[in-house]
Amino acid sequence: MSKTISILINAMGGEGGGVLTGWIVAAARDAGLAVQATSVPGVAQRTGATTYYIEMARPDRPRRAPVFALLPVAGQVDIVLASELVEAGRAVAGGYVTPERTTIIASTHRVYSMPEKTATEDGRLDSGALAMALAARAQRALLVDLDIASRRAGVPIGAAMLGALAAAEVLPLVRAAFEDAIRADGRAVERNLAAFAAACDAILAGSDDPDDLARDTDPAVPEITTAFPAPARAAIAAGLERLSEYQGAAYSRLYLDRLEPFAVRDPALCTDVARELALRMSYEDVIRVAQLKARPDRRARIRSELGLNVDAPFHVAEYFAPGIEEICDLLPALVARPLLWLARHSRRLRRWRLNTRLRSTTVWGFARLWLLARLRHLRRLTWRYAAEQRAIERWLGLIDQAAHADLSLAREITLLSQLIKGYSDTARRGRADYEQILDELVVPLLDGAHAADDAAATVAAARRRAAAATEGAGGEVIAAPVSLASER
Amino acid sequence: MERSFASEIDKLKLGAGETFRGEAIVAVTKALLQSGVAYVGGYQGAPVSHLLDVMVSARDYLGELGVHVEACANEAAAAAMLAASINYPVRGAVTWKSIVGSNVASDALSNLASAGVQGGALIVVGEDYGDGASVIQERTYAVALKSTIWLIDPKPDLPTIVDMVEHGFALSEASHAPAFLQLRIRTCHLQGEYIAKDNVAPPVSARHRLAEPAGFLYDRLSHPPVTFGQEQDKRAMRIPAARDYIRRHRLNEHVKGTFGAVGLILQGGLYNTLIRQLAMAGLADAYGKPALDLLVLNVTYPLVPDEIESFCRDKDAVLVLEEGYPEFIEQQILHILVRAGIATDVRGKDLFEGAGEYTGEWVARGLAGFLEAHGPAAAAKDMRALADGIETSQEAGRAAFDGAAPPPREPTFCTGCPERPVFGALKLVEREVGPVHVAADIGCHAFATFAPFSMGNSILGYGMSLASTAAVGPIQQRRTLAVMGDGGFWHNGLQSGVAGTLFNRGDGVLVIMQNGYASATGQQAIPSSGEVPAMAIEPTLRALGVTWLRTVRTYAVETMVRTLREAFTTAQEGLKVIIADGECMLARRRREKVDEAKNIAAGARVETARFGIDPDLCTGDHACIRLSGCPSLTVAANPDPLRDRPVSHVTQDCVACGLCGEMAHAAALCPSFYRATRIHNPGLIDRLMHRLRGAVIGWLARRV
Repeated sequence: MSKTISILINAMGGEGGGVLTGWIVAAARDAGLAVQATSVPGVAQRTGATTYYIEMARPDRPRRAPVFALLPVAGQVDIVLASELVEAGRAVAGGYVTPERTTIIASTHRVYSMPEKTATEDGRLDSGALAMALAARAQRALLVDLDIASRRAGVPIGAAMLGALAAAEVLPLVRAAFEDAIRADGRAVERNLAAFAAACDAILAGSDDPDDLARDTDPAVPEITTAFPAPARAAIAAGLERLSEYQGAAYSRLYLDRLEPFAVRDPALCTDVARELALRMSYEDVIRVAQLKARPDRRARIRSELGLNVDAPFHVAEYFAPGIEEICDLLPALVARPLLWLARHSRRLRRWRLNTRLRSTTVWGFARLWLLARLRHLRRLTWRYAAEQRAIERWLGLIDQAAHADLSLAREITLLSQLIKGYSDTARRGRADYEQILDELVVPLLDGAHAADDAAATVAAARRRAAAATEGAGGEVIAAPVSLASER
Repeated sequence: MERSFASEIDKLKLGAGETFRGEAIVAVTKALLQSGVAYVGGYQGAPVSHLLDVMVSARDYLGELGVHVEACANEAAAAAMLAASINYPVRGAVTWKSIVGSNVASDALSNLASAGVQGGALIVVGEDYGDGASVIQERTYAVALKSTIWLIDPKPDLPTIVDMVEHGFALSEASHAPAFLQLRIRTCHLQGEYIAKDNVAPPVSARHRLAEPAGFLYDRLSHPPVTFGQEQDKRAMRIPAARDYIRRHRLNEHVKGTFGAVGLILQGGLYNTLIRQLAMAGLADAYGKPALDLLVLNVTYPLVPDEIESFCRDKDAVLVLEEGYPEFIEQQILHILVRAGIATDVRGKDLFEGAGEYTGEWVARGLAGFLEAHGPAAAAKDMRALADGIETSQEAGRAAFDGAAPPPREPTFCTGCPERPVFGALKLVEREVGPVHVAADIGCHAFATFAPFSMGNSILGYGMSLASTAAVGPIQQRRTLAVMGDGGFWHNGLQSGVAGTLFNRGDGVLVIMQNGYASATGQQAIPSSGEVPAMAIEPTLRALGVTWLRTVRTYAVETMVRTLREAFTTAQEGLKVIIADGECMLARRRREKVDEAKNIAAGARVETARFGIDPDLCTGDHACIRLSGCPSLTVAANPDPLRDRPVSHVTQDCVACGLCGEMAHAAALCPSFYRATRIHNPGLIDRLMHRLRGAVIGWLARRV
């Protein structure tokens, strides 16, 4: 008997792994091989990780069945076929991939797992490192993005995986055998064959380089002719563009003025401040939301997301739910202050929302957005504007003060502004954390009230803890700002 | 039902000499018909759902044969169905997921097994154990042992399995006791082939009815005083009769090897895993011819003492390969050998300490230990080298990512699932009223125990959530919440939960997820699925006397938040029930997609929608994902040069269930979300309006 070939398929529930397994079994059987397949769909049928396992061999005599195993065993798998990069990684972590015998064929696209998605910051794994680890463990690694071919053909990823398997020429089966299996099965034959062919071509064109899968690199740096250090110039250019759209040329000059003292300081600090300052100065109020939603290029972006041509009609509905605070953002201090005072004392007012749905693709709907966006000309009169400028000045002052004595502390204070993000409750919580860390940690540190050996590390730890705290995971409500008790 | 079983129904009709190709569990279904079964019942659950699904789908064909099929209300009802075989010479089969189904069925099983059967009674259980299992890890063996129900654990290949179905009925009839046919998860899903036989129409059936009922025979009641006699009957008559049948028909296989002094005794289900590791070490060939003697137990209960004795008598040592705890077979073998005065060493669990499922890795390691202690040195060396090689691969795999293993990928609610919004709403309510004790249950909603919801304090079984709060409520300041599916409600929750709570004047909140099907197991119909309108959940609850009862559409997050808040805080005492109403999205999309495609192809005007996120508005805090966890809501690189944390992103898979928009409002989350509607086959007015609006909007947009 020929050597038994074992194939482990790692996929996710709902990706059509059962259909793929059926094709492989049919192709092998029709070629006169003995073949057996099994799986553990169980409850993993709903998007969880799942596996399929196939064994095949050419028996000495027809109908004499070899004893096939039902479970893959570490070090005893010939082919790992994975629908996604982390699922391929799971096969490696289980020991199923060995340099002695395993060919790994995997799609390099990512379907992010829950912990990667729910992280408050960036929880994504490094695809480059993952691919490198796969290649290091495998005898042969064929890594290409199979998702593109599948999406283009409009079918689940199984057909593209089959195409990649066929092109890899690791089974004693010719390409036509796999295509016949798709035809015999009868499900979306043309589209599946298209995905199959595209994946074949992709494999034949060569594997992706793991280095190319590394996190997206920095954008091109536009020239900026000022006295600022070179590393900071990209951020400054982006900041200027952002702020002139946000509030006009004068506002972007204010940005440059504020940045000026940092031009002569450490380049890294200057870069951080340039970036964070631009973000802080373009704080998200209702006007900003309307500005971005009324941008001329937005329609084109949504159109391309829908895959439509220019003439094809579509509608876009927007969801706004400004609360009393967001509305006060648009008002002068004289009106806003009493309203905010009321809100502090009335649970009902705090909970009240102006739930608004508008269709930005109708003239009236867009006109409302447009009017809101035009309010930017009055932004300087609002209560929020004054409050933000005061907060920015205070923050810059603290950074500057720290920079004289402790550069890394200055950078940490700069990064604290990242806590202020999101909208509504998320933004409120972030701001409270930010202010608490400034008041209770940074100011005493700068005044020398605390031992300052590891000042930067202390601030960084407080920031990370605050950033990681969410609106309450596992039923636990973290309403209060982070505790700084351990710092004292 | 989730899928069509048309091709499986064709497989059921295969005649003698034709080749059956397909899944083992469908082969079992075919084998039931080949055995002349008169009735089939059961309750769905992985990995045996397909047996019942195929049978229910094939009702018309089965009607021709005279086979009665029933989708039972729960496993207890299925077990009780076997009562037909107590008094009448009819063969019957029922199926469920074990251990849980066997537990639910236990009362009826005990009574059935005590009375004994005239017609063959076969219980096909999917042993939900090891990789891919979704229930507690216990053995059906314990149920078989205590009730004297035979346990068949066949070698995992289709011809053997089919053979064992046929023998199972004959064994049951020969010994007047019911039999379990136990199939592991991977065995149920095994793709293989066997040569079919003709189906046999049962001689007594729905087509050939009996003129008279069975006469009164007190012996067939499991009621004192005959229960005392039945207990003795099991020992004196039924077990010997079963052993005799097993021996005569050689259901267990004694495979001779070349080493005389050591041997292996194994459950049939472990045969392939064992042979593979023996072959890898050069101790068997690819077709299964071993170097060691094997005793393959296709029937693991009852054991046949003479078979064990004759296998062990001339051996220095045997290794028992028996999956799970406790090691019932090993204990019985020791008992048999001691009684027979045979001094063979019996090894087993002592060499598999820490093992759950007997994977190839574990089997190689256990064999290496056994051969080193008792076997030829050369064989021991080869087996140890194999085991070490496996371990090296495992260690290298663990080390491949510097200790950081790939993140877990738990199952989760499908894209657009109607149950997700309920847990999002609960998260919001908990921010106001504080955390509550959540009694979880079995069903899709149990996915809420995983991130990002991570909710649930206990799971006590299918439909048991409300009952499991009975003593929790009285010791909590806040009300408890029990979550139950409509499947769980009809399975058990109605009486043990709702009736019990009302009867005891309990206080608490019950959310019933009314999605219309038993969805987690493949969308089987349940009593409230609509086929029998009178069995709707709401009137049922009213009739029981539930006064605080609200039905809320699940996607209406704000209404759900308000309703939950009221339920937790109202002064009204007693049970408060919220029916969270929303059809299973998988079922709905399957239907709608077909209609949509048909209408679009026919040139009709059709609107399709999906959600999107403005990447320049998203600040990347991912609060939306933590409140939703939808598979189509993910992260993507941030296009903003000033920000590096990824933005939230909606993929093409979005079905526009509306939750994102509702959440944006209810949680006042974020204005980044929008809903985009595409118009297929637009009319003239659509196109004109679009052009006109585009012109005005374009003009305005340049002047912001």
